[in-house]
Amino acid sequence: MTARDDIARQREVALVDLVDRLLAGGVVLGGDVTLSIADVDLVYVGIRALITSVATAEEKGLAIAPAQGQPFA
Amino acid sequence: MIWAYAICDHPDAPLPRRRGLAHAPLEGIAVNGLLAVVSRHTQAPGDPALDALWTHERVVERLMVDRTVLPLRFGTKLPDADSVRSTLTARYDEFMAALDRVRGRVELGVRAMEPPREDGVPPAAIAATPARVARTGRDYLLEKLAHEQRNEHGAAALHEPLSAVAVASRRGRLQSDDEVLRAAYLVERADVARFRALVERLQHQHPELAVLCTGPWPPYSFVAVPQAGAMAGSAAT
Repeated sequence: MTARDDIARQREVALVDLVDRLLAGGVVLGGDVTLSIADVDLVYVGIRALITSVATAEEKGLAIAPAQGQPFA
Repeated sequence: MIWAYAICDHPDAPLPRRRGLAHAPLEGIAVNGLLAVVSRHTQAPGDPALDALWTHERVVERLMVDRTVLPLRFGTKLPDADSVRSTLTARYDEFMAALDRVRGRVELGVRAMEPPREDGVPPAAIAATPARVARTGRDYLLEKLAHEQRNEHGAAALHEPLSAVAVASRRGRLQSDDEVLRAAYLVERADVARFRALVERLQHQHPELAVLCTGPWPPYSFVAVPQAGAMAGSAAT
């Protein structure tokens, strides 16, 4: 595994952990929450696509701003 | 409408000046010992784009610096301040008890994966391709079963020692074939360094896995009161 793969993978972990917690964890107040569980799965798919495209762009030498707010950066 | 971030204790402590979604200022709505931290909006700002998720998360993390928080699920919206007050009143005891459970503690996330092999083919893809590993359907199923048993063995080898350092733990539903463990641990703040050192040691003992630890997070996986055991994905089953 290259260093770049490694970084992309770590980003993916932070993002997936974020989505896990914010969209599927936490206290639910009443019924008015934006996303259903099916929607959450779609967000995971979107994140994987995003990470793949970031990794690909970096491979091609394109500058990508680092993902915001890594939880323990 | 009102967007809610978290419920916390210490309603008298001043709120941070950090802005919420759509740059709206934070407000507190208090009922006795409880405070809901919210922002007001004319339009729902809840599109789950990544920067909105991080904004919500950073508000909750900021609150966690000087008080105990119950993070609310992203997308929690209420029509007005009165409905926030009536919810806090109706579930007062439940929220107080939940605050007591997480006080002084943080959540750490651990995920273990099989790294892709040198040729770039993930191990799970090989297991899923019968022609490459076995001649018959039966062989394929046996291979798949062996793969799952190896993974469960690997997951337990990580989860058991980590649970021993934690106050509580939750295992989540695996989201992809290369995942071996996806878990959340509620850890005393004083034990975070010890927990991280243990993760490093376990990574060292299991070089065949990529073990990644994130956090400290607000205790998202340990506050879901009515749906007990609902760390993340497991709520779907």
